[in-house]
Amino acid sequence: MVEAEGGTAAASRAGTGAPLVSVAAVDYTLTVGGEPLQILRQVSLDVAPAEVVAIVGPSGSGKTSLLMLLGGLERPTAGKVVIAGEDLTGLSEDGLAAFRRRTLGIVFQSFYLIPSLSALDNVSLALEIARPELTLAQARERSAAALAAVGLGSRVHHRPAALSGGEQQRVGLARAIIAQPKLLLADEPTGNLDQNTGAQVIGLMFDLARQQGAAVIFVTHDPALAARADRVFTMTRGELTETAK
Amino acid sequence: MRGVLAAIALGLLDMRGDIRRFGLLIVCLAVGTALIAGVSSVGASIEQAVARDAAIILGGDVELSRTDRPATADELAIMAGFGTVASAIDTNVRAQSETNDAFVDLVAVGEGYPLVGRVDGEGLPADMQPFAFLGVKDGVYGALVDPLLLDKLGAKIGDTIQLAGTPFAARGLLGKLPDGAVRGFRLGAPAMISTAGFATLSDTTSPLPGLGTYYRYKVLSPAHDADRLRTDLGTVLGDSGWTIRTPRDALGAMVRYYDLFLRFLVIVGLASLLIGGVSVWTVVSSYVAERATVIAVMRSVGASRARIFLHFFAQVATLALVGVGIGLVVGAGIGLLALPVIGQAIGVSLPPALYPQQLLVAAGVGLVTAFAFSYLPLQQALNIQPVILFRARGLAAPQFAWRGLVASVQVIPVILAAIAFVLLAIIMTHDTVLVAVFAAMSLVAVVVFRLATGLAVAGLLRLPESAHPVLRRAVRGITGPGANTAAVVISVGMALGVLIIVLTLETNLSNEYLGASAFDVPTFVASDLFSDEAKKLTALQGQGTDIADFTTTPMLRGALTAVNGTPVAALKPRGAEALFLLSGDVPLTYRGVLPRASRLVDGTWWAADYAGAPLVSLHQSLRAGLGVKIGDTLTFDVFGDPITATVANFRDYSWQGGIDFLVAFSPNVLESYPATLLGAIKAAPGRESAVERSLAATVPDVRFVAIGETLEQITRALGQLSLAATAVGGIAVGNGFLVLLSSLASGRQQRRADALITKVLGAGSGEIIATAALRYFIVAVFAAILATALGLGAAWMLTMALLDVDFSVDGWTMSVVIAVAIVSVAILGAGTILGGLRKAPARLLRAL
Repeated sequence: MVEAEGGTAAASRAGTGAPLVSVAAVDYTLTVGGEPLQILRQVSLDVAPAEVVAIVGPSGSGKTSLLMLLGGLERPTAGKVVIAGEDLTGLSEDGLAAFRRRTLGIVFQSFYLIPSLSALDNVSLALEIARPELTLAQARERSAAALAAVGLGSRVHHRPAALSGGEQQRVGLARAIIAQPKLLLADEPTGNLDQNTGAQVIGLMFDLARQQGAAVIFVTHDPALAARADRVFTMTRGELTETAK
Repeated sequence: MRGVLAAIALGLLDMRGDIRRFGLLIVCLAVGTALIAGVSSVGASIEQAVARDAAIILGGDVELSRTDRPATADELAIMAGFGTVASAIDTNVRAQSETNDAFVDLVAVGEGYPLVGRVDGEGLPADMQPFAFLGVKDGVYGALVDPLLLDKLGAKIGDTIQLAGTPFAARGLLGKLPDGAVRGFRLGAPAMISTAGFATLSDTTSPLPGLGTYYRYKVLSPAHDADRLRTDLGTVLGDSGWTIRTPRDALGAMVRYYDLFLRFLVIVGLASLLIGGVSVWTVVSSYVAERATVIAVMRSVGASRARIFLHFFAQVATLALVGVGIGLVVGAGIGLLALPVIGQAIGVSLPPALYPQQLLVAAGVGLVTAFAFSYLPLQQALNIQPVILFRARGLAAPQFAWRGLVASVQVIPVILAAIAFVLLAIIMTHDTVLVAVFAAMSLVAVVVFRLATGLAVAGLLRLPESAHPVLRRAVRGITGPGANTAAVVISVGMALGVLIIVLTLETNLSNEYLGASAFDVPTFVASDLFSDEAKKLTALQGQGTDIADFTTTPMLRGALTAVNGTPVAALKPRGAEALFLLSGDVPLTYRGVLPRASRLVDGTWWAADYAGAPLVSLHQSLRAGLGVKIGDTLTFDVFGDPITATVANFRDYSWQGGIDFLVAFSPNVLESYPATLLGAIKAAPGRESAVERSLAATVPDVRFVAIGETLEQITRALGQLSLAATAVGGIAVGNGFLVLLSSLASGRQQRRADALITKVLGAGSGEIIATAALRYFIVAVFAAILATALGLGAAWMLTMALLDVDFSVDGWTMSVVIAVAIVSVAILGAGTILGGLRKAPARLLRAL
């Protein structure tokens, strides 16, 4: 087992007490073809509020699985995942959904926009879910502002099929941050983008996260992008280690 | 060629993982094909039997009949000019032995009868005609009698029995008459005498009102075609009141009921195939949409459009062959099993047989349907470009490029398939009108569903969005770009429309079959009861529980003398009832209240205490038969007094309800004349014999006629038909529900993905499910409103134009079916996304 040693130190660097993310001795095993396949082994990780963490590693090493566990999209086989004081391992599916709308924003490599909705409605949907007390007009207004903030002010009514990959990812980013989450997870957010567009999206993501005080955990294959994080971890065959910057 | 085979082989291999999803498609095609194969086989069998045995069935090439009198010498000479003539008289009389009496269905046969076939009689020599065999011997005429009649009379062969007061020698047992099928329903145990013997009957007055005497003349003319013979005889005899029938129109009421049933089956078969086609459309559309990435990959590696078409066409063709094959086997099997049963019921020999032409037509209709409805979705597949691999196009079906398709040669196969379908349907139904009505209704329905959905969506878009998030998202799901609302409304609407048509036709058919079976069939009836006898019977009813019901109706006799002041001699009556009414003294009654077994067809019934000018209620057949309408006057001679009454209404009554009168007067007209009573007794179930004994002991002078058994037999036979109609309707309704479910396949994968993403964004499962359920509830309610209007309209047209029975709607059953359908669509619509909510989202996200 390799435990990331920097959790407490990072929290200290960020100047806060309790970590926002606390992953403790997490195992994650899948059954494939009747055989158990261990994806994560005794992974531990602490992330402080407003901290930016990059996870790098070869394909199939378990990076995305860790992100899924952090997002409550999957449950660990063993260990504990506590985010913003909530132990995700004890939450029901609906409890996890409620956790996500309160706490989380996710940016996917494949965007996962709803193709039948316009860019505005894709973003607005996330806000409507997270903040039901808002009126539709308020939700639309804030969503339009978020899209403008990512440079898509003129494309709000376009559906995903009419947008380029970079534009779709910016819609995905606007959707992820619209409800001002405490934690932003990004799974290879630039994986489908060229270097310049990727750099723009990542820059935007960092800026928005900083403005909102959100912590960011992102997975990337790009060492240059990883270098822009506060801390960098490497995933190798399911084991997570902090990499010296 | 190798390339083609390779493409087909790959297509079939590619289908392996998706076999389950095509189950509904196979079932829909199988049900439609099976119904059409079975129906066509039964129809062809009856047609062939009629063609083969036409003359035997009728007893000649044509039959002339009337109820008021025998043919005159001149008329007989005219008939003889066309061919050989034989006569037969059908009537009802009482039979008596020394100890018992019975009610008899009497047929008197003339010289030469039967012209074709032979009378099945024990004791009747094979080389001897019944007329000769039943002639005078030892001073009495002979009779062939049904064994049941002998039992009832307590007599045996060789004994003398009284028929209508005249002695006859029971010379043999009567079996089957060669023309039995065209005699229709007959009350009483059969007996046969000669026309010479009939002339000696001392009392031929009908023992019950409504039962007349039919004088029938069979003409056999090898040189003439039956239809031509009918036309020619009709021309020569002029408007003289003769009813002339060919074998086909003479086949009796039971055949008409089977004919109705077959028409119903044909409609159900066509409807099943139509909605089966809708199912093919939705399943193939959604399949193509979900396989878009595969198609794009194939195109990107250089596969031609033809290759893509072949790939998917091989799959659809295989599924269609399986579905149609199953349908043919089931349909042919049903035909084999059902033919002898149906044949027995209608009195025509229908041996079990396979009808290759009908099976081929059914297979053709099934395959053409599958092709026509899958061709356009497959064209969608051809329009999928590799570029979609580089764009987030989603998993929903691509929009259909109607304009481009209609303007291109791609549409030609669809047009050819439509023409082939219509031609095959016409071959199958022999009914161009039915096919035209069906095709027109289908097209109209699709256009109405499409336009109405477009208008409704446009209207919803103009409305302010709801503040309630679930409703708002549900409406957005309906109105959003790329939403499959129109496709769902069309398929749900078509399926529901067919459900409503089938249910309504089934209701109307059952009503026609069962008629007044809701009313108790009397077990015994007796005419000419005196009031003291009626009192005794009322007292008898009060003594125990054997008699469930006893009713009496006043009965007196009178003769119609004038219609609107015109003497009846100057009238040209048509039909058996009008001729009977003009035949002399006929039974009349008077009533304050319309009997339960009767139904008002036109006009109004008078108040129970009506005391105004005389009014009269006529059986509806007399409207055309006498050429009268409401407000016309009829003058009757009752006990020497002329009584003129105004026609107030026309009514119909179901013979299953018992015996009724052609003419009923309003109260306070005939009460002062001496009347007897027509009594009807309903025995408690299983107590018929006990009641019969009690009646004989209580009123020994009254002769009761046991009609319950016959009526119940007929009602039972019709009940079986009604049950069969209900069963077939049920299958069609089940099939409709399957189509309803398959319609939800459209866009299912995209809905699942959308639900998953929404869940990842933080929405609760309950909220997501409620949104989907509400969305489909709204769509289903909208489709149901349209489908109910269109379905009822179509059912009315089909009922009036093709079944020609009364139209009514079973609102309760229909409401339940519609409600179940709506709720099913809502639940199953929500259910289609459950797969995306039950599991942890991570793995599903990776699979997107």
